[in-house]
Amino acid sequence: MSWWRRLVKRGEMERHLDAELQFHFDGLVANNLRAGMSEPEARRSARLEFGEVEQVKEECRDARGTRWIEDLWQDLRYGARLLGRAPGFTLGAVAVLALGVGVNLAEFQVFDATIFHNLDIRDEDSVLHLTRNSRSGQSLAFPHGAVEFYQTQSRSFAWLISEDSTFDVVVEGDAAVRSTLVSPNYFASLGIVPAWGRLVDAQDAQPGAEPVAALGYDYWRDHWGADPDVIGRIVRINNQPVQIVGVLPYNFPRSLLGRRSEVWFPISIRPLLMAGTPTLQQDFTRPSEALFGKLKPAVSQAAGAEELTSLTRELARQQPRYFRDDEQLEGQPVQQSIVQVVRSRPAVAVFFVMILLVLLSACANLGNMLLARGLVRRREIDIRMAIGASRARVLRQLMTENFLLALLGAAAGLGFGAAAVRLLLNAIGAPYTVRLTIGWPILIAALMLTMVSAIAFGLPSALQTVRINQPNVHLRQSLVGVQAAVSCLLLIASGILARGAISSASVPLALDYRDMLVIYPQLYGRNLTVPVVQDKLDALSARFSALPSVTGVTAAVVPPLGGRLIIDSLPGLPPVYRNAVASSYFKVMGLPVVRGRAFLPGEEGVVIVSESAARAVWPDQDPLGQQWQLARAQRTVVGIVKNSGANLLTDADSIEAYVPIEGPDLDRSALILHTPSDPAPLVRMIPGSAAAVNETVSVTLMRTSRENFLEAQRRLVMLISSIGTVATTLAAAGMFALVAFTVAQRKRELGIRMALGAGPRHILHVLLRQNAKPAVAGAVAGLVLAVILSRLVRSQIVLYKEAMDVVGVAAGLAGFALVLALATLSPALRALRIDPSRTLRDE
Amino acid sequence: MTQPKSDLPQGTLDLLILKVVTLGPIHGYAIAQRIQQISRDVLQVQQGSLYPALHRLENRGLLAAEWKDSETGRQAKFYRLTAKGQTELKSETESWKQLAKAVRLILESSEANG
Repeated sequence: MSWWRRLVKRGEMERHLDAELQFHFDGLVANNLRAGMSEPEARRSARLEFGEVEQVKEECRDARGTRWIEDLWQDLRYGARLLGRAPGFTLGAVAVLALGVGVNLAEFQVFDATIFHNLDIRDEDSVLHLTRNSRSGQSLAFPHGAVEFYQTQSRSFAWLISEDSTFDVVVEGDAAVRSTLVSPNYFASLGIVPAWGRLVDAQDAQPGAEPVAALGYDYWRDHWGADPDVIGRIVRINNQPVQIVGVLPYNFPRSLLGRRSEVWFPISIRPLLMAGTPTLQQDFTRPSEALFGKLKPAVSQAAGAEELTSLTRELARQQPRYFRDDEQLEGQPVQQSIVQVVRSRPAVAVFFVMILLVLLSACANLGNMLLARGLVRRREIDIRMAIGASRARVLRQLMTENFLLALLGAAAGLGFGAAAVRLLLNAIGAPYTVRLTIGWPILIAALMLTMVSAIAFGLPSALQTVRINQPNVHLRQSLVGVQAAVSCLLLIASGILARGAISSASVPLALDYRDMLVIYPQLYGRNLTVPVVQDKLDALSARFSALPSVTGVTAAVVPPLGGRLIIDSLPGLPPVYRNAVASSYFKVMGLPVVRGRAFLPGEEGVVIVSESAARAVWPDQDPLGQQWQLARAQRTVVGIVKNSGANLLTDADSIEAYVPIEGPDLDRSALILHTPSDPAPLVRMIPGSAAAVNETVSVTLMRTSRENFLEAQRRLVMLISSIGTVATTLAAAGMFALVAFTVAQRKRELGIRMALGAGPRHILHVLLRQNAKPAVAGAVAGLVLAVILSRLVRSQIVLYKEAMDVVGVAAGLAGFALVLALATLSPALRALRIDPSRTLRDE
Repeated sequence: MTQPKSDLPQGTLDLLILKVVTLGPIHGYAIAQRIQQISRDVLQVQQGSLYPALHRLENRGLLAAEWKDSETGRQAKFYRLTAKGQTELKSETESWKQLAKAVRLILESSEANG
């Protein structure tokens, strides 16, 4: 019989065992009767010969090999009964676990759904990554024919774009350059403005269009000498002549799928670069493209996916070889993988550590409660051990109870987590399209984590409980200490991080970025002479000045908050962010000149520095009139301006320098328009004005990227401070439970003390003394850890650069002390209301 | 409290049971009687301790059991040796003989010396 059947047929097994032993016993009795004994004597003798019946039965049950499961079942029932009998303790423990697990789960999900959106694109929250899933579970990419089919047939999407980042190219003999092929509407749909030239656009999809490519910013800077004149050049890519038409902005280094790309092509170039591939329109053979789309307003995600799925049915009819009619299309918000995000933003790693610490705090809390409960059950356990239960057996029983608690806690945690997610999403104001992707792996991981932690923290308490006559002061004190340390660390860390995030988000921008439009003409790469360029810029400026409500026009090679950067690395100095600007730049941008003067029109051989640069380069001297070798020339410092703040967001150490736009740089200038009213309506008028002087330009609002950044920061602050709140709540709940428990347990002793004349101060002293020391020690440890941690992450986290945030630390510590005091005092004060005579009588 | 376990060396009871069961299907009571008879009451086995051993052997697949009418007409659980039990009995007997021989050699040689 299998052990399983032995277990299931337990009743039958027991009956058989009884019958078998009874048969033997009766045989002995009958034998004795035959030998002439009286009936009672025969039975007595049989009992002696047979031995202890119950003992034999026990041993037979052991022999079945299913004993442990029966015990487990018994323990579970016993544990459930006990937990039910102590509802206060059970609720408390489950609540602590639920808080720890549930909040963790919620934070993780929200983090997953929102912060991982780290792309600098327009409307990123409403961009969906569409995937094609067949019933057999494989997820496939799309052939180009299908992409075009969806693009022409779909009514639910404002736009659909595709990318193919499956192959590398050879550029001028430089092998394995990573590339991405994109649909012609890709960059325009995502709202990506080129740093230089133009990006792949609709004209590249025309029949007979010249093969073109755009370069990634880093690749352009590192391999093409950061020279805008590469635009227009013909280079050999996979041995085919391809014209370079533009450079991507520095803040868009990766495709939507997360692949870093050096060269970007229109998808139509594929047959040229890869010999033997069919022309695109008929290409259903190569499923290599990823599909993304933005829903039209008021179209739900489900409706969008449904429409595409039914279009896929149609495709399956037309192209039965490449599509199956059971395929489903699904949409998920575009997001980066955890690994990518952690690599690009170390703050995320800190976030995960904090989440784990919250769990640790919850577990220390639980350990403490279990320990206190073990004290109360002292008598019960002593009795069980006195009547022969082995220590291991009692330990197993205690651990079974812990297991039960963990199970309840995990279940409650999942429920609570689901509710907390909604709360958090509301709190950070996430857009409606953010979909929570909570898969089985996360659920199972949460469950396992709860189990493991409950067991890990239950075991020491259980061990302590079965050990007789040992004071368990040390364990309890160390648990209190751990909890205090973790909570303190979390509070301080979240205080520092949140303040850091706030302060970096509020890095004052000395520029008037809200009211600015940036216009990128394309005068470089066309071999125009300086006077011609000057004429064209003047003509454009005149046109734009004439537009309604435009109050100022200026020019700069690196418009603030845009896609271009020029960084000089000079020995012994922080990175110098260099800009070349027109003489009217400071006035139009509202950037105050602190000392000296702005540029004069047509001036050369001069430089204006920011206050931070003045301090960094000439710490002990007056910068005005100093000579500085910069941008291929020896220059005299003529003025000092305020730090613009534009680059501090991403590089807190940066310093700034401005030189006049000189002849060779003139064709790279972008024009900046100032308007006192909302600049958005102007955007539509710009291309027309430019066309009037036969130029094509791209145009963007200066505030866009700044606002994206602030939004991301705000969410991060909300999440981080919510962790601090949870840690505080846990610490408070833990201390409250501990003191309340102590009061309940020592009621009699306190009653006696009061009857003997102990005053309230004495009673409070007795109650608080034992936890005060470890709590203080833990808090100090937490403080030290926080300092170390903040120093460790300081250099990594862009958010925060100050060595030690005294205000943040003080606020965290004060909050911790206050909460702890409240949590301990309220149950302690209750102890003062003990009526000695009644308490003593009750006992 | 009396020590209910047999005074037999560890594992000996199993071997005796297997040996007795070779004679054919037999119930627990008869096995106990047979062991006492054969050993001429030298081996005093607390009869109850037979059953844990029987059940263990059954779970290991060395014995098989079924409920049948006994000679008194009452239902009893009859045990018989399985093929696996046969092999086990053979190897156990062999090693037991080896052990006994070795023990006798040692005892006799020390007698000779003493």
